[in-house]
Amino acid sequence: MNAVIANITLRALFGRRRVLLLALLPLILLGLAAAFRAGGGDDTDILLGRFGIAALLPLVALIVGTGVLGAELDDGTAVYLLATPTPRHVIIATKSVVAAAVTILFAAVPELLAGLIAFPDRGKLVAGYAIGAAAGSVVYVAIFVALSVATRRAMAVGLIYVLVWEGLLASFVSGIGVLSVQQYTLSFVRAIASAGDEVPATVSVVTAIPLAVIVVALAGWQATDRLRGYRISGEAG
Amino acid sequence: MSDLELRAVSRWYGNVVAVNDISMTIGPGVTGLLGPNGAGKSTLLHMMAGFLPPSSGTVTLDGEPTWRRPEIYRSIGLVPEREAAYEFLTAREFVVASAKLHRLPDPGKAAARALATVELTDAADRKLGGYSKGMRQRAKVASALVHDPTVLLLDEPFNGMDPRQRLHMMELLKEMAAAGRTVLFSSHILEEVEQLSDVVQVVVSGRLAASGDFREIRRLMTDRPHVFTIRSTNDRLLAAALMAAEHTSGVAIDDAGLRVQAADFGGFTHALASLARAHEIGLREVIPADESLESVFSYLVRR
Amino acid sequence: MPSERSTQVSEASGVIYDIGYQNYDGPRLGRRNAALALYTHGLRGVFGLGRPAKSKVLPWLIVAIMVVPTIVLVAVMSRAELQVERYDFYPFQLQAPLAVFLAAQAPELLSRDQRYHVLPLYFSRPIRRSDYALAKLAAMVTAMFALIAVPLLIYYLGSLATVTHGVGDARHQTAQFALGLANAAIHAIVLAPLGMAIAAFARRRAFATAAVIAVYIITAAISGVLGALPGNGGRYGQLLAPFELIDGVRVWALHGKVMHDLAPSLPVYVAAAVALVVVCVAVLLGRYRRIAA
Repeated sequence: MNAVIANITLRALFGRRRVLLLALLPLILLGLAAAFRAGGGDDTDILLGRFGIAALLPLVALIVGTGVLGAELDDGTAVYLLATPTPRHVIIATKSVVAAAVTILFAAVPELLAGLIAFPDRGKLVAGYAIGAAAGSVVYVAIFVALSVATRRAMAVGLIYVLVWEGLLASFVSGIGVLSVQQYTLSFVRAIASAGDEVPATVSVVTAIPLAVIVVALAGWQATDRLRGYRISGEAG
Repeated sequence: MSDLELRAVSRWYGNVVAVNDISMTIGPGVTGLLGPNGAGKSTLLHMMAGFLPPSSGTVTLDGEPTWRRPEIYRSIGLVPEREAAYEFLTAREFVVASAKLHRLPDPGKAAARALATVELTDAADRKLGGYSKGMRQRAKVASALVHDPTVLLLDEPFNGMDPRQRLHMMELLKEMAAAGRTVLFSSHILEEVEQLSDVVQVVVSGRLAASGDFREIRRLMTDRPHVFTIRSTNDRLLAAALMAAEHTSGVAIDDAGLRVQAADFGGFTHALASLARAHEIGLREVIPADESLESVFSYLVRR
Repeated sequence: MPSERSTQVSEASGVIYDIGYQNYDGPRLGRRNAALALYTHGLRGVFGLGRPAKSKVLPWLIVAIMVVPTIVLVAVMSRAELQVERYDFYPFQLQAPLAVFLAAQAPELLSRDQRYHVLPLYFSRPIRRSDYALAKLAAMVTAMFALIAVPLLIYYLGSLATVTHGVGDARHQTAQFALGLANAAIHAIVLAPLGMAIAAFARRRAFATAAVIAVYIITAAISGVLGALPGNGGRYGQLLAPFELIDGVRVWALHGKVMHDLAPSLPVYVAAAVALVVVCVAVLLGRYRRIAA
């Protein structure tokens, strides 16, 4: 962890226009929670699961995860960071931690608040959703940071992953769950809240935990390796 | 000392060859990398700075390859060409951050020194986003200097600078070179390279076209005629005499004087002196007309 | 010989030299043809025609995703002699590929011109700014329509060839097909302006794509959440999700089959859809009226 890098990353993240989008999404969740409270809704899965975990969490993680490093790599500002003897894994680690923290702030914390607003008597379940979301943030962020080092189209690829892989295929092909961060997250939620079928998860927590660890480690390794090979190409003029 | 050595370096992108079998050694002093846009200068600089691997050949700093080794940045400072910088940081914050990332023991002081060197102390607390192009360039140089590197690489550093800033930057680079550092800068502007470099590396279409002192390079190209402008007490008589002489390949006469083309520099200068004396013509001015980098360069480009 | 430097001309005079520049004296086709050319070019570009191979991958992948199920269905029908009604809800079931196509290709039409600052070149020609925006929009509408209509056509022809027996049957099939085409048209008319209006504001393609898909995901999720509220009121959340909105229009306007619970008042869907189209087109035109050229 490097304080200088963390500082600059945070300032860069919160200085851009896309942060507005970041603030908008949890507000929608809270608005819906209020609507639930007012309308007497009782389906926890739809609010905290289908919206909170399946839509809000990956989108926030995507915006933040690609924002901490991607833009700098694209416009060449990263060179000021890279032309120093700072070890590359320190750079990746610092930025990933910052990204995870911000994602937790904008996704897991609102998840907690929304759950408490909409289902004030389901404390354990809500806690499960929030903590599970926090764990999911870490995994999502690791993947998206690695993606932003690997390709200039990180955001588009990430969205296709969320929409097509996690959204579409996961509902048609049952085995895919083992490769879906969404399912890992849901399994965490289920385990923490000791919930049964109320939290639909196609993967058991016993499988999900090691897989999540492997994914994070793999993503971190890939990101570091590719960062070492960061190249500036293209001639002037 | 820090020597950058390129041995048989080539870099290609698919079918396009950006750098074609270039070998050179860059040592202490100011070296100018000269070439037209698209010649491969940026590619070479990025390879030397460890931000691009050669497709073949080796690029080394004191014997160690530059690619994939963050340690080289202890000795190398890079001033990249692209303008983008952290708009929201002030110059001071930017340079201090650079100092901290280089793990300097007293980042604040090092930053202050670097900022003073580039004369940005007064404006140091304004955000980079509000800077002019020249000021931003100076901030980049300060950030590259803050850790006192032995090698300084600058990609088109004088872009966007006004004459006073350019002069100041040139003096700064000369000072650094005099202190024993290796300074390499790229440019497509002949005057800049002419004024500043001790050694010139001329790159054209990815190939090393010439290297060394540019006057020497010029002299080496004996197959292209040297041009002299001569004013004398009797231009026409001198013209006739020169025309008959062995080393002359062409003579033109106009209001400004004689313009003589000669194939062999040494032979011609001898012949001129003896011819003038023999015909009792006084030589008022003898000016080699195209010793400048401009003609060297245009000649090389046309080759 | 050293090159002569040109001498100053003492009197003020000027000459234009003939260096082979040829004037164009032929017909100039004018605004309508320009707009048409822009439309055709846009339509080709959406499918990657006339562009490098990499640009063809995604659109044709989506085409394949849209078409393959119908081919499979036709094969199944011929084997099993089963009639499987598909005209109505095909686009709804394939909303994800359609969303991806829109998200990926709307920026292809709009963001590139913005990013490389070629708009001044367009706007200094006979076409007006609104022509530019509308021509591009028309291209996307056509593309989205084709994306739905072609699979339906395959299905229709396949049905005729396999499980259709007799004229009455054929007439029924044709009627259903016509309704399917109308449904496709509604989808195209509602979806294209939405995607284009979002993409018009992003210079970078990745952001535009991201924005469109994010809107799709979030609105679908909001609709789902609101729909889970007890009572019928929550179903009006469907007005926010484009595909569900269109589906409501389909049920009302085309007397289509009801596939999922809808809100009580169907004309509201139609009003909302019309409003959406109008607003999106207005936003798109407004954007191009104000964009710095």
